[in-house]
Amino acid sequence: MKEKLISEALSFLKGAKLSEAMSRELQNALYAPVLLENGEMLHVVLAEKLQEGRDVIVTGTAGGGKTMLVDQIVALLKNNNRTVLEIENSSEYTESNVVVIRDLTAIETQLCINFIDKKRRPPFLIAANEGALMSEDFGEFFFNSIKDLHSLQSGNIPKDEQSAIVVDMAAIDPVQHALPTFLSSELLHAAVNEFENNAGRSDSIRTHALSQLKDPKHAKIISSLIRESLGPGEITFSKLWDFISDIFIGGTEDSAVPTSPWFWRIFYGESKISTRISEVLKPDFLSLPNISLFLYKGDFQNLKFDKEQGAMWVSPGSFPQNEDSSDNKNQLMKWMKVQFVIIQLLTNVINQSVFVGSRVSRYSSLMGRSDSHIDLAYSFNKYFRNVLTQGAKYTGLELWVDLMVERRQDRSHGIVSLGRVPATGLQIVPSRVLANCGDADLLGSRVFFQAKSIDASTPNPSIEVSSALLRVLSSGKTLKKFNRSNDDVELSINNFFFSIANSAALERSDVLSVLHIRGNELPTEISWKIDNKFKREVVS
Amino acid sequence: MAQSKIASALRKYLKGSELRILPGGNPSRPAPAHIMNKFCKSLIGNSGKSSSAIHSLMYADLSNSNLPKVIDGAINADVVQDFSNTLHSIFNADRRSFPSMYSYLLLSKDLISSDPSDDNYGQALVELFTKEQIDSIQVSLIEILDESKSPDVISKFTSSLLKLTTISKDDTSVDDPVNDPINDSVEIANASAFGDVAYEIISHGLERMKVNRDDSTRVKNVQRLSTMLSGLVSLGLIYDAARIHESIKNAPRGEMEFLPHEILGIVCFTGVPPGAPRDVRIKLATASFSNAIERAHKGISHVFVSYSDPTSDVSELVTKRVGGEDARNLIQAFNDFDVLSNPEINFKKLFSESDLKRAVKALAGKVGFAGPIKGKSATRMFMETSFLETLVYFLGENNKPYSVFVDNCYTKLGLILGSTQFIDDAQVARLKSLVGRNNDVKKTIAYLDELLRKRLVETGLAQEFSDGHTVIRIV
Repeated sequence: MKEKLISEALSFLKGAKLSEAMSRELQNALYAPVLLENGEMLHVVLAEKLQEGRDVIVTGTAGGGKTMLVDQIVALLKNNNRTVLEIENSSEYTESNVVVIRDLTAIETQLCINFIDKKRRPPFLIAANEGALMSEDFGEFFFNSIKDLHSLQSGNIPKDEQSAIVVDMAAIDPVQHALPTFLSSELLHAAVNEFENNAGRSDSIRTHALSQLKDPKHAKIISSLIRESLGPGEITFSKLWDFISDIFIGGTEDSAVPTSPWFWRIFYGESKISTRISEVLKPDFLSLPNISLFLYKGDFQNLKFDKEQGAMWVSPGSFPQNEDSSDNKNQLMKWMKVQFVIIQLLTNVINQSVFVGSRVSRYSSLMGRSDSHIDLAYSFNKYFRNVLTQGAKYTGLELWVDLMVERRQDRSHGIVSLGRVPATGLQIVPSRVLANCGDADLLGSRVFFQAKSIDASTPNPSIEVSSALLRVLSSGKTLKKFNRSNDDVELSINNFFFSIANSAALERSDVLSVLHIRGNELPTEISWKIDNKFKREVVS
Repeated sequence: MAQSKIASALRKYLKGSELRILPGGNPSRPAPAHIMNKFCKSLIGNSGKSSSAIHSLMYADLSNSNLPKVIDGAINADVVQDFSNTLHSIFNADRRSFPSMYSYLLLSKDLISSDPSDDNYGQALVELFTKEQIDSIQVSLIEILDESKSPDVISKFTSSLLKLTTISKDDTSVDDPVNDPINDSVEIANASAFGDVAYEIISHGLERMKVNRDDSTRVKNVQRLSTMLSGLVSLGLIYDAARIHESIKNAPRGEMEFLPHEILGIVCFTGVPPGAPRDVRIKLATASFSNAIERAHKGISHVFVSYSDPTSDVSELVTKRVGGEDARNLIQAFNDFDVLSNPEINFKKLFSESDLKRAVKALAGKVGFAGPIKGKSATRMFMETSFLETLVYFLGENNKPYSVFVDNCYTKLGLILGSTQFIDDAQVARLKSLVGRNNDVKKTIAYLDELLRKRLVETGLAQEFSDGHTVIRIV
């Protein structure tokens, strides 16, 4: 491996984390290709589409990987002997196969309009923040793309081959797509070795620990653990690089408790991601009753490691029992427990549920099961009904709305149903990354609860399964007094229900139900079948 | 505090001036349901016996002869109680229905009632409009209050119930004596300044609602309209009065019309209500609200003084404008407070700033537009989620930057919700004079702007993009 490249990788770890700061060679070396659901690489598919004459718009957050993707596409086009014109403010328009605008906000609007408004022009590849596309300066130019982008973000997949392909990089989860590559990257491991050599350390605890991650299988297991704890949201590449830098070259070995090993830093490092992981997985509560004493004494014989596990174990240089300070004893004990559990995880002896907080991450569990939409519908129903007995469990979604207009301290005495959607009309879908790109598909990182529209051309009504929504659903609805802290989420639920009533197929649309609330008693349901007259239905 | 009878008489005394909406004898009574009903009644008449038939069914009485006509199957006390509870949950969620009078959620124009509890606010709002404006609102309103085409189960239930009770209307136990023909009771004068403001906002919202008149959103839109009307009345209580004050104070401007933000310029707290009293943003909101009330009160006082000739006989002066019991009450009060000796000062004894503030707070508080409702903390304007949603619906532009919504609130209603290019140095200087040097007004407004943006995003009323660009989403 070239020494220059290793040095540049080390500089990158130490400094700026934006891809603009990298040389092309380093970018290529560290590029973690985004794989589509069918296993194809995103940049390859997009380069092919551009060669077929399709326009491509790449949107996303600053530091979200737009530039890296554009660079890879451009490199591929050039390798295929295509001419690429990169529009900058001073650019003269020349004949080319593809025109590239790397950052829409960085060039003059009129220059861009002059180009995209041409009747005969080559396909374009534009990278832009969403806000830039919506700028009034561009009028209606990007209207369809914005519409497609919003559809993607709601879990729908626009498929119009006449429109530009839209890529929402903000929906790509870099933890899932790139972290395994980064963790096991030979180049980065070599950069850490240089970092240690520069510091005069030839066989450090840091490098010894990092060797645990060289196996891509191990990197994947750790990435999965991290992914579970972060939940949906926008972790950008730049935040991820902060995290990688911190776990690779952060910390020290000069203290009684070495803080340099990666397995320590993923929980106790100085990046925002490690803070979040620690908050969720709560490593302080790791309970290892049978082996704590052996760890305390440094009695590794009794840990019963196999050969592979034994080779992975990194000694901290001391044992809790040998430390005088109680702080050091505790910290060292924690250090050894964390390492022990991580080695067990990497060698598939245990799974991640050993972390007490792993159950709080419900997002992946929602996506992982075929009946999770029933669970979520149940949570909604339970929220409005306050309690549900198992026997009365309805598997669909009930659309309860409050018709009160006034703001009062007390709630209304009853809520009314707009109808109910059977379980077959519900789904949980992730956001999508690609619009108008044929069969190419990639799941995004956000999760939506949807009701299926009757009319296929109408977007499915959806609500994002955010942490705020889950918090409100699990906290329950107050019966008598308003709980203003739930107001905002209740509004989004209310809007979701009205959208469903407008566009989804409802069950028993001729039955009106009311949940009558009297004082602090549990609500009672009253239903009336609407026919020539109203017939009361007995609710079991 | 003004006595109820004096306030009521005083309102009639001042009627005919530019002051169209003034608090009456019971300012704490009017609620959104009352105002919506009276507003609609003034525009399209009331329902006659349909709503009163439903009203009779709400009070579970086994002997009600309508019951067998609407309920299929055995009728017993439990069934009747369940039916009553159902009707209350749908039409009377606000609990503004009583045995003697009622105001329902207007899911149909056939439910309009003539409950006087609105203290005349609903009709006064209509009287702000010109004939053309009334015609336009009337048409839209009839479409929106037509439940027959809405496919949702609530509208279907309403429609069926109305049909069943219409058949049996001769048997209704509560008779509704009032069934005014359209506009008969409405006095149409020249449009007032606030009338133009209110018309623009209401008609914009109604146009938007017409698009969804045949889907379930209609039910939600009725709720929104009810909320907005009360919000507008609470601003109407001070708008024209403050405008009179401004025009006197700035007489050199001549005929040049004052803009809403020059007239009101009220800072709203955009965070989660009610906010901490010591928060600089709350201090600015409370100071600007108090200032608007003070200016509006001066405006009312000015009109009163202009009617008061110290050389006149009190009885003669009063009876020129009001008669009967109102005249007697007012003559008594004028004499008791020796009003004509110094009308400018003594007017406060008849009707104080606190009276005006209480009236605005009482109504605005019912739609989550002012508060706090409990406690002694100073009144400010803020936005509970339901009111914020309504305001966005009436003043926001779908898919446009949220700043357009902030601009509209400022230029059309005179409410300061955040930073806008239209806030000039004069406005900043005015606000600074209210809160003192320690409160950096521009910075405080910028805080409010960010609070609003975040809140709009959290409630789903706006969408934030990766670069912070935020656009309004109207559902």
